[in-house]
Amino acid sequence: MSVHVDSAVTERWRPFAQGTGLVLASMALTGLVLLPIGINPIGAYAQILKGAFGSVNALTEDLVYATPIILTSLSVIIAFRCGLWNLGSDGQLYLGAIATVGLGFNRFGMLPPVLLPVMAVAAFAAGAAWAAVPAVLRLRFGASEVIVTIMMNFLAVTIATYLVGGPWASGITPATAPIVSAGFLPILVPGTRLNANFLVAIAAAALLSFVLRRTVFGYQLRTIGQNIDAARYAGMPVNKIRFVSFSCAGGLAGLAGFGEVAGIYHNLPNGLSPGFGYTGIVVALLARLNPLWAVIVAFALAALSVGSGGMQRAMGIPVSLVSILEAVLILLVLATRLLERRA
Amino acid sequence: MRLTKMRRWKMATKNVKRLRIALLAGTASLLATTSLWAKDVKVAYIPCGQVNDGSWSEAGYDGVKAAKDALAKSGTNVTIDYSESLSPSQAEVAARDYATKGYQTVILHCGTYADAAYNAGKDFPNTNFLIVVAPKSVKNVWTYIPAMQDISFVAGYLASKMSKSGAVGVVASFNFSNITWQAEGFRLGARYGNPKIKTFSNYINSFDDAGKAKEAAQAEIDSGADVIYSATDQASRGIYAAAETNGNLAIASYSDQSKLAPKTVLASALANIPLLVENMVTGSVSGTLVADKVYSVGMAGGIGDLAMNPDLAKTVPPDVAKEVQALMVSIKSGEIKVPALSDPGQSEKYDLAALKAK
Amino acid sequence: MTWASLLELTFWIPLLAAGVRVATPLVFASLGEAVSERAGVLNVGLEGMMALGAIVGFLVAYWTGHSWAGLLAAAMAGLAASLVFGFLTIFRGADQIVTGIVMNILLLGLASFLYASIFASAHVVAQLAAIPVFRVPWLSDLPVIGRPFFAQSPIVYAVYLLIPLFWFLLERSPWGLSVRAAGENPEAVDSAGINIWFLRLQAAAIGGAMAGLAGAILAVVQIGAYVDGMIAGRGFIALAIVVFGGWRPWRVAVAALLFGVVDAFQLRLQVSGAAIPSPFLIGLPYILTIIVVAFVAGRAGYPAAINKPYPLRHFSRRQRKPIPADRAAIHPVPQEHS
Repeated sequence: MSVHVDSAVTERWRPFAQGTGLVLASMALTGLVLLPIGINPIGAYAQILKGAFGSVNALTEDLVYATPIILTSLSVIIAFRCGLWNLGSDGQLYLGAIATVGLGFNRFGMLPPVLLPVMAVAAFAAGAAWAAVPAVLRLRFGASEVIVTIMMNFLAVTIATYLVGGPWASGITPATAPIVSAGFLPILVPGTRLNANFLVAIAAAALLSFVLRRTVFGYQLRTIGQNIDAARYAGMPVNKIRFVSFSCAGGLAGLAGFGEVAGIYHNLPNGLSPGFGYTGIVVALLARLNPLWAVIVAFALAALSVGSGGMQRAMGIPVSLVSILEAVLILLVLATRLLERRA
Repeated sequence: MRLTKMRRWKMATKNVKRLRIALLAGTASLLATTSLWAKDVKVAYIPCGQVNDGSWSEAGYDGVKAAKDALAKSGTNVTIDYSESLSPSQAEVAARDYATKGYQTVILHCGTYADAAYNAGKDFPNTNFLIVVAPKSVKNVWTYIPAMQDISFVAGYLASKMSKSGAVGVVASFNFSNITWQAEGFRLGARYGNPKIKTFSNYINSFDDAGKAKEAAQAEIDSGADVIYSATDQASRGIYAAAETNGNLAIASYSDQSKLAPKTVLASALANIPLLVENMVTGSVSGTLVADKVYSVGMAGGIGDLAMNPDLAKTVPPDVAKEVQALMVSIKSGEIKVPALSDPGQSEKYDLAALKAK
Repeated sequence: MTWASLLELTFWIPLLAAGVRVATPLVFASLGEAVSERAGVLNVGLEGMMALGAIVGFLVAYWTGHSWAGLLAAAMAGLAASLVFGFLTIFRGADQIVTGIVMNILLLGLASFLYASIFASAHVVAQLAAIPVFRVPWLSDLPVIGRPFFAQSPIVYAVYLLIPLFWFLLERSPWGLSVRAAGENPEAVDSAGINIWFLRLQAAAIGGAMAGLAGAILAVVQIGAYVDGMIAGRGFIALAIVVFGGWRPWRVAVAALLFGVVDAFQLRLQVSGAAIPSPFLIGLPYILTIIVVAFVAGRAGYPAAINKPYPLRHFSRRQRKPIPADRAAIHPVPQEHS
């Protein structure tokens, strides 16, 4: 009996041991690019840790940066789970941001308690509408959603740039005019940028997890992802479910755009997203398409990004080092097929 | 070959390091003797791109370093740190982090960082934030704006005089106000030099897509333009490539870039950003900045100059060179006022007589 | 220039020439990617491989003083990157799209890191001499098509050789037959006694080398400088062009040219006095691609075995573990192509 318990314990801890091993291995590999330029990798990594967890401000910044990544990774997860690729969450995020700013000027004179929810719903709807295009083209015409979503990303950025420089220009900064202060999301920790959209992201993760596990819709969605022919045979409305889930994927990414505008910038700046959509895909993979794990993985990657800023400030190492570290880690994970074994 | 170059480069950096250490030791001993009234100040610099980009971000960095040297004379010892290539959100993180660590001045040398400056400024009243091209100065946040339309106007004037085809063009990165001022300033200056000239403009929607910049410049050249002005950042390399292939001239922006294409870059419209940044940093550290003042500085304030390419300067007819000098004098004195036009194409309809009106 | 001049040849001939220039790096990247995808390997990491090719090609050309050395080195760099990609996706059965995205993060970061750390300390801005245009005698004097197609940089003429070469390789050679079969019906290739992993790796390597070359063409041949971010989405555009061109070399080349012309058209329209083009004009190439992918190329669809790792049976030296069945639960792959 005790033997059995022991093996169960080792089984439980094995992924963590393997994970730690991979992290160390990728740190060693990435360190190789630092040695030729005469920098001690261990010192650099220590600075990343300090930059990410060294202060209350740093910790809240980790959460601020994790918020849009959580939402884009959920967006990727819900589409993946029914067998579709959403490479377009970046573009959907932009559409959400555009809708948020458009309503945030409050030209219709909405009352403060109404304004924020309306902005959020509009952002969700705008992202969903943007995602509905590739969904329809895929489901109706068989067009590769991979290609169409990438093209839609370019298109979304083009529209945002146009609005920033043209009709919604603020006059001098490369950003649109600001939204009204009634449209600002409340700050959770005074003196920091941590805003209520973080709670929205957590709630979305919990809700998605519940829907996937406990509802008929979630069951059908998973069945479609695992075996579409079986789902058809069982008489599930396959196209309808895939359309709804892909649109929801766009909506979740749209919420990320809502948070960036209403919570952080209070306007739409040029270059809003530093590739949150693609980070979301990476997070979705590392989280094994589990919405709750996505929250934790997103936090880890966000901490890495925030910490890298600290490293750059302390040691003058280009931030691109962290992209290399992150990528090497994930490639090792892929190479060892760690994710594919049942823990 | 590659290895030896690498080694040489490594040795060079080592030598630089040694030199730096020697210099530091020197300053330290110097300071020790004068330490009674010496003051230590930390300054942080956050540009859009990298401090070695040979353009916008490097120009600002040069200014910060110049301020350090200037302040050293008055006994203030300045330490400089920088963070490069950040998204606006990361820039605010960096700005806050510097402020927490007791930096006296944080320079945000990127238009998209305006909100970062205002937000951080509110929470850290003891740190001065300097932000480039922003709408307002409040309390401990000061805006500085290089009014590039002035020198762009001069560049346009020079281009119109050097054009043989009767057409000149500008390639700009984005249709954002201060970049558009620059492009339209150039076109207006060209019209001022030759009212019959045709002027073209292109917006490529990128700071660093050199390939697109090259095609935009080529499109203008194919339409007859023979002098092309760059209002882009690193993408300007593509503009020089296009002009060089066709044997045309280019005019650079922000910093002296004649070395990049010695047969092509006729002149560089310097923003004197180093000087502007130096003045702002010196003012901030010594506490002489005027409260709530927006420092929008054009040629009247010494910002904006033309650096001729020494190889090509001799191709400029002497009377043209004189006229350009005269034009610069009248802009500096305020006799000619260059407007900030923020709509592409606005310069075509602008009444040239209004330039001299009060 | 006025709107009326849009009707004249003096507008269209330079436009075509511009289209050829814009298309050149795209053709390189998408021809290679077409081969790779035909074998069942979708490489979303093209963007990163182009960036790697750009920085490596630039550095080698700068250090040796020979542009061709730079191009060769860039092809090697792209090839090396695609071997990493191929190892993970073909031999380890990792998901191609995820691996491709991670390769992008890695290689874009690496390119930026190399440039920053090599030129930051040296504090120089490096520039290569431009490669002059070579006018093909007689052909460049042809009416209409002479200037656009035969008064270009020598690298453009390489494209004219590569298109038939790729066509022959892919559609007429025995190797091409196995490659196409590897993408459509891997079991058949396997039972025919061909090592399908190695075959796919060859195809992926061609794709990587061509992507590296494409990046170097941009940096070394067209601009003569490396600028961070200069690839600016061209790798993703190349992915679209492959679908656009239906995975056939001739059509891929035409699709790239069409894309180049549309992109050049919007820049030229700005010159002709359209004040600032609407986002839909700038976005025209993307909209066009979406329409073509949806309504022209969509039905044909990707090769059936794209992004499906093949569990090698016959030619492994030792018995390998098959790809676990529960993989589908972790990375579901779009299964059907309607």
